Amino acid sequence: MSDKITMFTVTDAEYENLNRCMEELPDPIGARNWDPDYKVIDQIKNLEKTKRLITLRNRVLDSKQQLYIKERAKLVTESYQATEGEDANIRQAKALAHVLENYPVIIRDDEIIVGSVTPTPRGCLWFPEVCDWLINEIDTISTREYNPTYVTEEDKEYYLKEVHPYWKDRCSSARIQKQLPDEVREKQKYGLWSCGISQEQPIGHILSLDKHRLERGIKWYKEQAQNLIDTSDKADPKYVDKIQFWKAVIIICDAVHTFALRYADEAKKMAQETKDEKRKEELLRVSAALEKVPWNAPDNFYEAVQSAWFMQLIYYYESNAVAESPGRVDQKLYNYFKKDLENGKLSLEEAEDIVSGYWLKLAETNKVYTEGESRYRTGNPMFQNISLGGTDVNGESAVNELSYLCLKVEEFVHLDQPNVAVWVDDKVPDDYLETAAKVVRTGGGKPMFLGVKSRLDHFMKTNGLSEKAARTYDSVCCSFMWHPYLPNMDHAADVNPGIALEYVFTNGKDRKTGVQVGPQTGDPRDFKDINDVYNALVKQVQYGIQMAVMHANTIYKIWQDFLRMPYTSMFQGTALKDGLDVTCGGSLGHTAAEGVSVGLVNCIDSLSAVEKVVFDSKQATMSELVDALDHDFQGYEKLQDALIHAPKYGTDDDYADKWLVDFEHVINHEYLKYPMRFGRLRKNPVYIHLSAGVLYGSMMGATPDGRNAGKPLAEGGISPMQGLELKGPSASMRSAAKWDYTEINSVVYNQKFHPRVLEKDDDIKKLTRLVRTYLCDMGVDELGANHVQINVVSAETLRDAQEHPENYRDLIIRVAGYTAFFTEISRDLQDDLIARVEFDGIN
Amino acid sequence: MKSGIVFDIQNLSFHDGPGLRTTVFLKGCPLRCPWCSNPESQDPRPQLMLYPERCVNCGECVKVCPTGAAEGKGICTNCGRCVDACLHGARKIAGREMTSEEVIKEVLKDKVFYGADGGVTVSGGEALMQPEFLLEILHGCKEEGIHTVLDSTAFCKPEIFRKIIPYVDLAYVDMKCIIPEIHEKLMAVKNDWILENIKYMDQNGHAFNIRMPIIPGYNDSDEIIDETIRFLKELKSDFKTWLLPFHAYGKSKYPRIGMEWPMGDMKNMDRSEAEPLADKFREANLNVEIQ
Repeated sequence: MSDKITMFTVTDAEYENLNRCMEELPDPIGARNWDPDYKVIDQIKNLEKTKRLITLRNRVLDSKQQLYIKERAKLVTESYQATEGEDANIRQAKALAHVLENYPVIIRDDEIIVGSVTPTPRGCLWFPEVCDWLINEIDTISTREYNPTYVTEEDKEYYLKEVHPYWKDRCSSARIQKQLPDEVREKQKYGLWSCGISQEQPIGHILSLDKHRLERGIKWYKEQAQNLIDTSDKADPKYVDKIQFWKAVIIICDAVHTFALRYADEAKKMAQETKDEKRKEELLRVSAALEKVPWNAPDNFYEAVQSAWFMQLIYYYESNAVAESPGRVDQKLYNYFKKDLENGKLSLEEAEDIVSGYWLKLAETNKVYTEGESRYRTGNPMFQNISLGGTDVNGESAVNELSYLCLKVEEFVHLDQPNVAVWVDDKVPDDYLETAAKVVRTGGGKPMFLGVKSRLDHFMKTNGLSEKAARTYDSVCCSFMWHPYLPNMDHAADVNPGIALEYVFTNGKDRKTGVQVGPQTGDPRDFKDINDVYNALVKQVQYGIQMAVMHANTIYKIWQDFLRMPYTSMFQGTALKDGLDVTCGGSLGHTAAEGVSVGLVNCIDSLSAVEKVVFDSKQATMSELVDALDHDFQGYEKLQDALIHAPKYGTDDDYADKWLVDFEHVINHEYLKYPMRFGRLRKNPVYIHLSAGVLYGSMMGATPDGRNAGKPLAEGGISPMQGLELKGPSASMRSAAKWDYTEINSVVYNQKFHPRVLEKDDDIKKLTRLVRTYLCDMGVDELGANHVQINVVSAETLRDAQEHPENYRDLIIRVAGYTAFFTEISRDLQDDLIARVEFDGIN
Repeated sequence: MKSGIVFDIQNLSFHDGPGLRTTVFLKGCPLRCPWCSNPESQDPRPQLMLYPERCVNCGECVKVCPTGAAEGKGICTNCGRCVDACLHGARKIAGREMTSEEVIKEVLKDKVFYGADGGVTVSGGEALMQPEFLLEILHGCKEEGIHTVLDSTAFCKPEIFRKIIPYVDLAYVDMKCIIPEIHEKLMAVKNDWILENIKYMDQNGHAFNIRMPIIPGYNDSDEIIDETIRFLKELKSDFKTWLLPFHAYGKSKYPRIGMEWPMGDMKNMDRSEAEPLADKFREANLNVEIQ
């Protein structure tokens, strides 16, 4: 790769694809500077929970997590056994079609938005063609500590007899393991890199809704595919490849239609059977809607939401991928909502039922992770992002009545899914952000806040989007801005800088086993200055990136060989027109968003601590430091204390923060050396991880930031190490605003608040001001930072702080004119504060 | 350039005035309110604070203590050597000397957050106990266009108060007790300067709000409340009165500086318990709010 490639390099192929995507999807979001009716907004603010919402929500809450194996695996296996020798796209399409034609129709009581993945809510399906890890966990999965997932004896037996024997060598993950480069296969378990969850699931992380697909209906995609088969140039040597994809699309479109009609029939049947007149009417409405959508365009809000959900539903049968994100639903669905409201065909209570029905359908979905992944990802996150408000293509506010209704529904539903975000831009009105902040006050860190300006800057400069195209932004996964013009993002090549940091002080060896995993970067006892330490860290990270990329590239190869995604692909950019599955390079193949994952902040803190303690104040030698780390600071407590008190990230001290941007650039530019399979560059790094800091921390020895062996690494992506925001939240934000957001796609940054801070409406205004300042005025070129999630600490967290005060040194109790940290007040008063938190109903 | 003793700077404070603020706590206070929640703010000098629950009896503090105070033999000079030696955070010094320039540099870091309404609050202790230092801080803030709040008891010679108040955009004055004898008995100082300074602000157009801590059994008698209301009714300014229900969050700080919490087992007061008092203020058409 030439040295001339930079983060701002946009290839001709990328430009050409962007332009063609814009032709295919001219107005995917439909955001406008609406003229919302504030009288309606006031009514929305005063809505109460509907009875239906409460019933359906309780049903989700009360449901037990169960893995349903036979339901889907039987159908998929039958289909795959019958399609040996056929094209990979056709095989996937036929398997999906076989499921949709035979899978049970499930309509639950009280539902008006229908379509269920599993017989009980929060159930998980099994995807035998994707992975086979269950063979190692089938006996323990029902009772394991993290996210136990119930499996019936019948399912277990079926799995052992029918599923595992056929799929153990055929599934995608087995193929990946067989084909990995030896070096990658041998070293993958040590944690220097991870392939995210991509090895155990196919391509995901997509925008699962756009305005066009709603308006076109599934019928349009079938017609397009047929038309392309009929009219394409038969002299094209690739014509025979393309017709396989187009045929696959036709098979799937027909199967989706059939599936909807099966639901329509069942609803009609249930209507005939019920004695409840009101329910009969609802079921007949369900039936009529599904006779029309998603095959055709919807005519009203109810049909539009039902159609959006039904199109979403298909993804859960196609694969176990995550982060199929509906994104900016308040824009995409607004016209239907507004029209019905104005014509008097829709009351706000009905609209609340419809939207909450959709919300709870998303909340019902689930996915089973391996034991290891379950530790890594607390809960079973689906990363289905919905983002609200924001701006239109001219940069004006796009907030409308539906934006408010969605927030209201989020306030009422408030479960772990969907993952709700609010866009923050200069033009988004205070009132909307304040309404969102009031939902934040109820806990759970939802909704989170996403900055617009710095992300537009990123997409324009690194991905070559025009301003207009960039402003057609959407959201995906945990906190990413994404564009309909960039098909699927994926982070299969994540590096863990924390492990690289460990290797600097072991000369590349895994501490527990002594195995040489990283490169030999020299005996750390011989390091003469901080640059020696830094250079070694860079080399370890670079090696980790190389391994991660080879791992990811193997996964991509297997996907192309075997695990095609025709339903996912047909909506993506130019894939349909070109007759190419995204795994095969359709719409130039999917886009990398490589994860710079656990331990990043510990690297910064460690560099600072080593520089301060060893090279500046010379309180210890490198040898003593290495000994101290080898002994987990036993007998080296003074040195550990000095390291702990060295300047750290999160206190706005440039002594520590000076490493940020350089280290970031080194990492970002390293990824650039490894182009993607179909010519895209890896230039959308995401500085993100979830609860992985706990898992990786448990694997690691002591680190030079003073952290003991086995203790968690810093949480979130760029959040300061736990307990280290000692100079208050704004100092932490000033540190966090120093990253070069032009280069980074997304980060995760958490900010803790004690609930007492947010008691009054005036406090909400202040929180809004804080969020707006951070996301609109700070950072590179004062474009604002990228992401902030406000966690109002729960009673549970406060109890943890009582037990582990060392992790909460920075938790301030804020009372007017008073200054103290939570951990410094007496136990009885801590108990009193906890009781008050509980009393206020903050969960 | 003046320097003074600061015992804390808290950024992004939500509750020390309008908007987002940085609160600068100056050390030293002439009042001795028994319910004081920042007892480490009373002594004007830096002061050693102990956290015995963190102490592991390693003896490092004793080794470095020049006077033997660490083992209870000599007098502590607050030199801070034991704080550096302690690996367990069992010792801290409350208060450090800063120049006004350093304080202003610190508060300027958050200017981006202040907006039109936010800014700096100088609190204490009693900030007026370091009048020249305070004046430089306030003056410096005004030069930078930053809104200033003085959170104080207004206990200060009136001629000094009149020099400082022009640099204060909004004063929060704690009126702990209107009855002079009770005030002197509880707070150890008279309240005549306080009342005179409030009247001065009222007559000369300086914006202020009144804060009154409500300490059951101490300053919530009918006599005190009625007299307070009578005094406030005579003021012509548009001001708010905040009632601050008693809280005991300062309790655990007392033993850390070798003092005894004077309030015994008194529990945090619930907001609702202050409602009957607030009603009295409301009946008198005063703009009152419970904080």
